[in-house]
Amino acid sequence: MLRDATIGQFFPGDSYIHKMDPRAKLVFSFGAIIAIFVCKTFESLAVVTLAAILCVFVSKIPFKTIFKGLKAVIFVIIITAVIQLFYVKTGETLVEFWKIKITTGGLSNSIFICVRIIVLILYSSLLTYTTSPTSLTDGMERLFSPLKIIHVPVGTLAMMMTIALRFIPTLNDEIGKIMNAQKARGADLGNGSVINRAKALIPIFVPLFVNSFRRAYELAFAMECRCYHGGEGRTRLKIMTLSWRDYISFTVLAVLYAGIIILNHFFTHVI
Amino acid sequence: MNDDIIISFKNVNYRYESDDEEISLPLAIKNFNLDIHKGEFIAILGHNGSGKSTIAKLSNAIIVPESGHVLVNGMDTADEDNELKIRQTVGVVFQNPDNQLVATVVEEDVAFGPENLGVPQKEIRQRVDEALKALGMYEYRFSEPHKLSGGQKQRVAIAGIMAMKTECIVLDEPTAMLDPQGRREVVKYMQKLNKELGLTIVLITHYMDEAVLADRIIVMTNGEKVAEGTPKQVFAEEKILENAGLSLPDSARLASDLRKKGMKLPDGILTPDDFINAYSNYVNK
Amino acid sequence: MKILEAENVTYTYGAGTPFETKALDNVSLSIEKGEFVGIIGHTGSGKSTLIQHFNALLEPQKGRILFNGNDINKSKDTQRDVRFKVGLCFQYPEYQLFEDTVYKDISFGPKNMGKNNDEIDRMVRSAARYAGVKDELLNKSPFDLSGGEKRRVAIAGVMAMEPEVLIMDEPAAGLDPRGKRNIFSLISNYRKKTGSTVIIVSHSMEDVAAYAERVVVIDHGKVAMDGDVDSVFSQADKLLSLGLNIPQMTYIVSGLIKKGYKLNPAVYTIEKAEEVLFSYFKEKGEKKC
Repeated sequence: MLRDATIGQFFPGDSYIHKMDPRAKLVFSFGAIIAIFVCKTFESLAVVTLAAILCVFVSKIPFKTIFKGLKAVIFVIIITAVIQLFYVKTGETLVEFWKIKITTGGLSNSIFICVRIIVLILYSSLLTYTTSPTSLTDGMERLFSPLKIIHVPVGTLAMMMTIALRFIPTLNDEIGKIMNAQKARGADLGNGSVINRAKALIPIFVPLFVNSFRRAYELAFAMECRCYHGGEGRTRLKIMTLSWRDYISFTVLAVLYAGIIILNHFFTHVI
Repeated sequence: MNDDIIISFKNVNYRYESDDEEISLPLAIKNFNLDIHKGEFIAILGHNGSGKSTIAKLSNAIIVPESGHVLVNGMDTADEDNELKIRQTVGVVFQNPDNQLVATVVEEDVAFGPENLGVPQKEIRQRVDEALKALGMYEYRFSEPHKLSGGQKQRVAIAGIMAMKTECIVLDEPTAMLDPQGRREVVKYMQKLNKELGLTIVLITHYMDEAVLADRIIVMTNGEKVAEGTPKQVFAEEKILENAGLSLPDSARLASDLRKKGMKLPDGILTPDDFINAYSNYVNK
Repeated sequence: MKILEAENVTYTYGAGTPFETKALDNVSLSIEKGEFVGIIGHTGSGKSTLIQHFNALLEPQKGRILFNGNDINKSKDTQRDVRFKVGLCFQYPEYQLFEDTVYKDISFGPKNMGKNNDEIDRMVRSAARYAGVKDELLNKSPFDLSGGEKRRVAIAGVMAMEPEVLIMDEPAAGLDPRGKRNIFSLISNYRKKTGSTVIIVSHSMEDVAAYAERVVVIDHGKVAMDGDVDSVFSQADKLLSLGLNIPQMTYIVSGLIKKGYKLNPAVYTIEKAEEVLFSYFKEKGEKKC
């Protein structure tokens, strides 16, 4: 059933990483992703990669699941690799035919970039796999709350995000219902030319929009009844406190950076 | 000022704005007067479009009268400074349970009201747990709202209002979109809140068998109050109900039909059990 | 003559996932031409899944659905064809209106059938009449109508396909007593005039009891009870054990029977209750005299 579709990519669990504070996870993931770009040698990249693999182990998320996520971007990875392979012309020539010349520099560059992208996806999907959209939103709201000083409506943006998350399954259900109802009147969805297909969407989207506006209107009343008056002066049910887990993650991040900088210094730069 | 009155409608008139500025719509509420007492369970009956839902919105300053006044604990709803205090006193639960839950987790939804009011964290926790327990939803506190049944969603919505420590809950057709199971749940908890926790309940409905449970019934037609009294008094007025597009509860209608045939059943039969007792007493005589 | 048949139909949602739920479990049911059937069951009993099988919106994972003896899922064409022959009107159908005029919305079905303009016009106008949609509404936007009017326009949209079987899921949901009476009387009028087979799905025992001739009770994906209205409603205890409400009149009569009164248990409408209770009272009075 549609209602059972998982939103986002969250995999509930009780691993070390699942239990971390979402803010710490955001900081760690962001830090690790920057670290990938700080790497200049294969040796330092290996450290970041190993760290990522270690994190996946700790999270108890099967590698299979993670690789599924990689499949979606495999095309991007291949294109980038090919471009690097042909355009970087440093080092010894390995193969040369017609106008194409592949060099050792090109090869190592291409491998380097591929690994970078894969590790980047590893870290970011680990974040979404281990954090529910709700706590991710909460984490971001609190992490960015200093921006309130420069009048960024952080609370309001987070509220919008929460409501969107809340209504995704509801609207999903609704689309299913409307599609069935129009099919029951003989609507032919997904057949014929592009124009016909676009036309066939009208009976789905018009009611969906009309209903969404009605929902929004009713929700606004309900929120007013519950004294919502913008993000100011709100308190929260859940207080986030950093625990030992989070401090360990910061230490790991610091060690990671130290390692990268040292390795960058002692080995040959690829990029 | 009577301390016993929680909401007071005084000569209230209200009309909705038309999309077309040239046209002025007829009054949705006409010269409406009503005092709702603390701890009362009151039902407002009327057909669709009778103005009964407008009463819900008027009762906590979502809309304000065109003329006349609505006073909540003596505070005028037209005064914007009173807005938050009024909404902490009178909460409204709407018909569609899907469209009034804002959070992705039940307990966070219930916390929404207190969070908006700036209640300290510890107290929010306490209020949320209390409200969820009162509505029998505590074990679902970590559930996602969209995975609950209609009746459960509506109970979460009521808990969300209760967590603001409101004294009065106005329910605008809370069971119209529910299945019989959901209706039973909501009605049961509504009665519990009234009888055990002393909350004032205003139930807006077109289900006769729900209205029978109230202390007092108001019947609305075309924005006007056409009948008022205890269920027994109101359901004795068959003609008025008929004209208001409503019908008697089935048991009351059966009793009234049999009376017309010459059986001298007593007055005030409203529920099936009333009828069973009255009939067996009468036949055995 | 059988018009619709379900043969050993099984359907499971989310097969192979942790959310697996068996909605229909080896259901066999046949509907006779011209019948007025009420399908009852609580939320999640499988009744909605069943009716979506009847017009090929869902395909049985096991078993077959036959319309006039032919398997409706033979090909894409037969599936689409059966949608026009078995009209399905969902719960709260007014939320599916989309055209800028009532007329156009009602004509959506006939247009999809590939009818010519004259035919379409005839079908729209006749459906509008059956559904109680007044002529002056036809050129209005459906979004400007009242709730009850919208509901009738949506119903007309299904009737306009002139289906041989009309299936309605909770046609009166959310309406006030007057609106409810209107909808049910237009449905029974439609059936009388067109002779169509009508299936009503409802939670409300009172409505089913008052209008249907045959009642099918679905519980846990199976047919739990099937028979004429009398035979089903005379088993008040069984209905209650399935978690269903029984009509108030049935409750009253079965309560009196428990108190020792010898009454006919097959009572479900006020008229019938009145008749039974009054004649019992009269007999008793005569005996006393």
